[in-house]
Amino acid sequence: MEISLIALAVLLLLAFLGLPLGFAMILVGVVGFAIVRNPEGALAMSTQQIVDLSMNFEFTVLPLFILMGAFVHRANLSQELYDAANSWFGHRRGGLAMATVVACGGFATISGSSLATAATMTKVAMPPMRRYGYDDRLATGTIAAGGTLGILIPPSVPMVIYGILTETDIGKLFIAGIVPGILMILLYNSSINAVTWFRPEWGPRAPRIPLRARWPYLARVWGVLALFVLVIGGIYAGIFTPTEAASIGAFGGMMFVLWRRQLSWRTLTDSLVEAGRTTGVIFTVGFGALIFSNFINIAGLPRDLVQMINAAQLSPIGVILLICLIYIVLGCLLDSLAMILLTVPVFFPIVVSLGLDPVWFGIVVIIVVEIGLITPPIGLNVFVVQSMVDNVTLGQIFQGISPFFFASVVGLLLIIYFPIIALWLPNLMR
Amino acid sequence: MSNHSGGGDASGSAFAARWTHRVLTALVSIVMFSMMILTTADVAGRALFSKPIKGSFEIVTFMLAILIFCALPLISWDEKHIKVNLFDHWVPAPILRALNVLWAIVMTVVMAGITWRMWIQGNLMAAGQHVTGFLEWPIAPIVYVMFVLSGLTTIIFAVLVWQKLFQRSTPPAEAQQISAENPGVD
Repeated sequence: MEISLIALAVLLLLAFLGLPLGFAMILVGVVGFAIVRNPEGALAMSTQQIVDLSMNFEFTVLPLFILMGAFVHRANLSQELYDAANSWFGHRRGGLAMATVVACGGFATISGSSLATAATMTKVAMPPMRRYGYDDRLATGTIAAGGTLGILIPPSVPMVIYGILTETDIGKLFIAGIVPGILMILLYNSSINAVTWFRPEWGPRAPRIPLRARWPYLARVWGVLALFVLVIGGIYAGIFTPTEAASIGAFGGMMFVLWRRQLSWRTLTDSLVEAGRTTGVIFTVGFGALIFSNFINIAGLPRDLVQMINAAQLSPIGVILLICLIYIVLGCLLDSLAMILLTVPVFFPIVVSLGLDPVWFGIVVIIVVEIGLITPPIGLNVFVVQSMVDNVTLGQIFQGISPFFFASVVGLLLIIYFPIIALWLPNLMR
Repeated sequence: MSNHSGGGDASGSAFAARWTHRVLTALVSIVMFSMMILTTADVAGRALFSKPIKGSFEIVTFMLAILIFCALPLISWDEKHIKVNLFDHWVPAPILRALNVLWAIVMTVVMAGITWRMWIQGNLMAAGQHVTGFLEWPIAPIVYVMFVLSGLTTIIFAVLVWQKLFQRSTPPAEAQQISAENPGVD
């Protein structure tokens, strides 16, 4: 116990002093393992981890989903999504903001990244909201919060990473994200409703579009829908494994760009290189995370934590609430990937020992990570939005975020107390 | 692409660095593209003609290893590894500089260790004549490829140490920025 706690402290110190995370985890993991067992064992274990992780067929799902995201990011689909959502919601009080959330949800069905979703939606949603005189705080807060849907609604890169770390079925994780994703859209839109109820001048109505004119807008987004149905539907129906779905998704994404006449040699190579490099970055920290978690396992940290929990007679829900609290605090300091890699190896064995569902816990982790993406001082989504909008301070965006923060916490609690929200769909799978 | 090719380098080494960067970038895109095409063709072949491409999953698995280890020197050279830079603004500049040198040294050592172990692993697999389950392709060559690219990454880290120690040029601010251009991770 002591050695793993010391190791954890050293790891955090090294990371906070700027040693890249993957290398910090490899170093601490190898040294720790060598102290608990022996140096030769430590080296053999870590070599094995690196080779196994690099040559595991299951994990090819990661570069392929990242590639899909890289393609659709360049296909500029966001304008159509926004127009479609707008035709249905724009005339309501705060309607443009609601449309933004819905369009974010739509973009999330083909993107596995929150930052990409926030960045893309900033470009299309910010100008109209400004034109109609929306308050900057509401407008930017909406986009930053809506962007987090990118990782809750499948496909989702963090879910793949959670799946790899915990050997949880990636297909089930994806399917489990759908209903919570819809729930979050509803909660976000309720908070927009609440904000504009108190401050109607923050979100003026746009002109109503007649019902008949709305369908053509919806028809223009059929491609997004088709890709989602093909990829996620294929996983749900058991036609594709996640890896196969990812390759279809990547190929479909490329066809999308081609069909929209935006496929140049440059777009193609940029997407490929971006996906390859991101894969390299993620696997480097992945090596570290696996080596480190091997070390804390043989050092007995998970076992000791479970004993402590039993001794303290905490209820499973109490433990989960405690874990979430730790996550929300950590989310203020770490970015999402770092958080998942550092904490899941420690918390996951506890969750399993309590008999809780790994898929459900995955969704809980994703939602707390989402919250981390919008909480100060390190809220990456907020940084992205701020970097793309003129004359808006970080403080204003964080102010605009606060209702969405509460909405996320409500969503989190609902899913903790009613796991069926997440587990209903995956339980229907074969 | 390379941010470090400027400065006081001898033109020969700058040339080598630029070309290494180009070749690796090209390799990454070729491998990535082939992975996508091969898996898609496999699924399509199985679904449409009930003829999967035999052993494609083993080829794709090899590609994954090559992809990761080709990307490794690139992201190391451009200093794109994931790090927490929460306190960078608070730490005095000279200390930050010293820390950066120290971390570059640590990464050189870790990477040298990985390189050494890949060599041993490759030898083990060659001696044990390990082959893949279906195509019965030998695994050792791939591990040797991982060894070579790890070695290249070690050299790059060593060069970074040298640059940070003896060159005045500050690292590109662009490398630290959180930009919307490469948002694949979160």
